[in-house]
Amino acid sequence: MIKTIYIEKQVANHSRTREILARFPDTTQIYCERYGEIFNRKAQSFRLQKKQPALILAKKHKGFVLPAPEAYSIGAKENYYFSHMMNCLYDCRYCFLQGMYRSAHYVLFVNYEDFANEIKNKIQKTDKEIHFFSGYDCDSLALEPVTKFLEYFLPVFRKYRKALLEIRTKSTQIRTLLNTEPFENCVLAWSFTPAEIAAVLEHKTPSVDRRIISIIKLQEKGWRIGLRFDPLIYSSEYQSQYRKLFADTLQICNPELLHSVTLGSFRLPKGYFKSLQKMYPDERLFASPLEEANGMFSYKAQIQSEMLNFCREEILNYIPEEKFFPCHNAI
Amino acid sequence: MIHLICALKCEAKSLIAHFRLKNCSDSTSFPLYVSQDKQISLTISGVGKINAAAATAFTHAFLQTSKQDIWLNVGIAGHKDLEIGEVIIAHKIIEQSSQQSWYPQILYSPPCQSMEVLSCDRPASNYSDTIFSDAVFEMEAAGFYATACRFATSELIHVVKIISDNQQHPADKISAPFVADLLKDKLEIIDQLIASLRQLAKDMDSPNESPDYYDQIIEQWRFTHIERNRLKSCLNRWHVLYPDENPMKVLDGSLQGKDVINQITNKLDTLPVYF
Repeated sequence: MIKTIYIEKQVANHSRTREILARFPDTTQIYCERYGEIFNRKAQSFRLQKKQPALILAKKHKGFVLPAPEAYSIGAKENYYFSHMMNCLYDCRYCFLQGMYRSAHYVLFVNYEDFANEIKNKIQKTDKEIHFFSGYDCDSLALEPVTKFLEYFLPVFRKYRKALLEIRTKSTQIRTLLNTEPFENCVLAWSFTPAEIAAVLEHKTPSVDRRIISIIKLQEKGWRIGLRFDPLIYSSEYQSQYRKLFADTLQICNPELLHSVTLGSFRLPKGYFKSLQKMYPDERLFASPLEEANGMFSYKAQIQSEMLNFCREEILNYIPEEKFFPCHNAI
Repeated sequence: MIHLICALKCEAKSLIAHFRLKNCSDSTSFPLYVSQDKQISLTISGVGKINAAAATAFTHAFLQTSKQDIWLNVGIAGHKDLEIGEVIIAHKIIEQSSQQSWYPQILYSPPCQSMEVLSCDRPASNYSDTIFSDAVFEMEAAGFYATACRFATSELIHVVKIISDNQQHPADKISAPFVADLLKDKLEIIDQLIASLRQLAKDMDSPNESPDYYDQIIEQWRFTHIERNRLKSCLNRWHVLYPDENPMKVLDGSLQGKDVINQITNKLDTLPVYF
């Protein structure tokens, strides 16, 4: 429940700002010059703020659309990501955002129109297939009733068939999608870890079962689906846990509507890892068999390789190879 | 630990009595009072943001405060029409002279309303500012807050003001006994605020600086400074995965520090990880 909203003065009269403020009449509304006065300042505790995050309504000035990391590709040569929000409603222990930001407040950039213009520019400048990813610095759907992100961006992409939009989420906020006609160049991609792991590490997220129900409903409507087993989390029972997860998710997917399946290793830059370890010293994930190489923390090479091979073989029991994108490391 | 900073003796009087604080005679720069269990301190800063900043820095240095400590600036303030005795907590502090702002993070249900606080260089007489028309006027918050943020996390630093004057009852009618009584009447709210902040502070990350068996191991084997840090990290990991076992049982032979770390790490890497 949002109790405090900070508002940059320059977006105070933006229609999206007014709509959001009207939705939360009982919040404390505080005006500021720039969101950086509140977000990511020194002397802040991500862990404490996560107990009661505020919403910050701001304007983004540059960097609306950024090149996606190379390994993010699901088939196209040109890949970009865009983030209308920073930070997430959920609280996943492995999430790099906790290491990247000092603040857990949600920053929502209300000037969607500027994002859309930049997206259109990128599309018009290329004759190649081009992919856009949403959900890198936030969960795309988790705050949909507030942000109306889909309501705005789905029509933008519907017009450009050569541009694919991937909406990455763990959310079950699918009402807008159920009320919208699906289109070919939009993939709704759900992230999963096995239920036992999700219960321990993915705080405040919908259960694996509820996510699967959302997928079933959206498939019935005709939306294309992506499955993202990212990050892969090691446990001594990972084989049985992931085997069950693949069966539960891949078996319910309509092969016609399944766009892609990706795997992602757990890896974090050293600085982020150290911050997280300090923040959650009793967290089992950070006591796992990890090693540092080239400034990144990840599972020991042998474990990682065994997990990737196992998961690959299991997944390919269900889907053709052309839909599978292994080793999909976001960071 | 909780640190209270008050500008005036009359603001501090009720708090000193309420928390049973004793004068700390070693403190010569600022009057400083500490509770018997050393969990609460109170420093009298004098009026104005420079005094407030200096007293905050002094308290930090004198008491060796930690990042998890709670800091409160408690004092009187003016407002154009809030009632005398109303308590507010600051959600925004503006330094009038520079227009610089700070935003205290209120991550709990506050026991009173929150407002903008305008820190002025001189006492305000007409309770109006062209930009901050509804602000509470006072003289210490900016100096206190900016300084305390150097020593603690901002979520645990707050400014509490009790309205002592308004347009109907201007500041020149305030007396020391009147201020002391105002504070005395509002101790319950300050107690509630402290309780909320104590609850919040429990969730601060506090890495175990001296994990179990650390002292015994460094007594027995030699470690460089870097190796000691690696050992701590190793023993913290041991504590998570193998809390009921003694890591010293896996150590054998005449070892260097790095061998100790390797033997513990090798054992840890063979342990199952369950979710």
